[in-house]
Amino acid sequence: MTEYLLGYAQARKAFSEHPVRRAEVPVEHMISLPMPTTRWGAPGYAGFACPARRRPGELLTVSAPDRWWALGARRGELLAYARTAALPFGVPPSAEQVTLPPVTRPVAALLEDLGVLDKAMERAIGPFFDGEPGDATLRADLREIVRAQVPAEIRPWYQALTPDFFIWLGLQGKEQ
Amino acid sequence: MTSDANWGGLPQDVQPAQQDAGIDVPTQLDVLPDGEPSLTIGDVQGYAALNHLQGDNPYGFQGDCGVVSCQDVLNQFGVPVNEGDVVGHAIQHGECDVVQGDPAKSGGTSTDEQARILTDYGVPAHAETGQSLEQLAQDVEQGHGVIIGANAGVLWNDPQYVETGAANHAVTVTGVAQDPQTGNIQGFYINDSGDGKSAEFVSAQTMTTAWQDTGGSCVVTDAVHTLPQGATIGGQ
Repeated sequence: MTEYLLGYAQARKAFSEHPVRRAEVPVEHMISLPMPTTRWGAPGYAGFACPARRRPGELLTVSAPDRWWALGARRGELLAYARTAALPFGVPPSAEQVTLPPVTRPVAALLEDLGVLDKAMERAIGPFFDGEPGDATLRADLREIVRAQVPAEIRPWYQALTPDFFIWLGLQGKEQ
Repeated sequence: MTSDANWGGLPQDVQPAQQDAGIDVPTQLDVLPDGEPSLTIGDVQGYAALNHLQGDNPYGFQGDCGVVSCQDVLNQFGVPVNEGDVVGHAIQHGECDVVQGDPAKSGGTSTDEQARILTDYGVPAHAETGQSLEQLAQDVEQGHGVIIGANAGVLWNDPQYVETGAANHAVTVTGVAQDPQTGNIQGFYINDSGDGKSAEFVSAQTMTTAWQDTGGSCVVTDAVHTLPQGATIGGQ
């Protein structure tokens, strides 16, 4: 199995702390989870950012992604950064604004959930990047974790950016 | 307008900041919300008056916590601007995000843009990442103006805004709470334009989760505050 220097937990950290975010991405934007992909010819992680509106006690409202970026999995190098106005990645144009459903789990539980995602992704990236199907149980478990982490309302944006990973996961299409 | 009115190279819509007069900040013995004794370092109550709920600008921009935090810091340094002034400046100079047709989500700023806004107004500043609580405390204790990028869900204990765990909200740090006996950091005081709360105490544990663990991103002024008249140093 190929060794990847940037495991998923590191990728998640690098993705939100990368200099491109500091320079280009408003703090107020909602940052997606990075998803594994080989879309740009090398193992990497890609994610997007959306304008967001937050008011205490109100639901989170986001607009369609206005920028996206991808980091290499081998050494965290920047593979791509673009505004969707300049280089769209396939988000349906009708998806202009989404109000996300209420989140009822406590804050501490949500942070633990992210740790669970990190661990499952850590096991999945090897077979995915190597082009292998991997363990079916692992994929099934990860599918449920991703379903829980990525609201159905904005899942099409993830699927549009990293379609290869969602196909590998068996989580593509609106009904998913 | 003549060049003389341009204050030596600053943009014409800004006024110069006051000059530094020292590096010390006020300190006073205090009590935390849980009853623990504490040494408060920083002009927490003085700066509390500078905060307000974001969205008070003629452009209808509501997603401008970074801009309002800049206004807070500029006011700390004696630059007489309001939110509308700073939003207008940021729009004019391409230093904030404008979402076409959606002012409610407009006004966002990257940390580099926040630093540029402060610098434009004569309060040079720079962005940093990967900072620790100890480094944050040191910046505040030395009298620097500080804006941090933190996770709003953790800060507000609101699960709706934890999202992917990343920083998604800017606030101003106005003070440090230290254990008077050990010097350990008990927490920080912030001005938060998102909920409008001023001089809000945030425990060290919450700050670790909301800020340090999300990248320790901040904007720090190069200059330090002047000591307010009548303020005490060293808890005297």
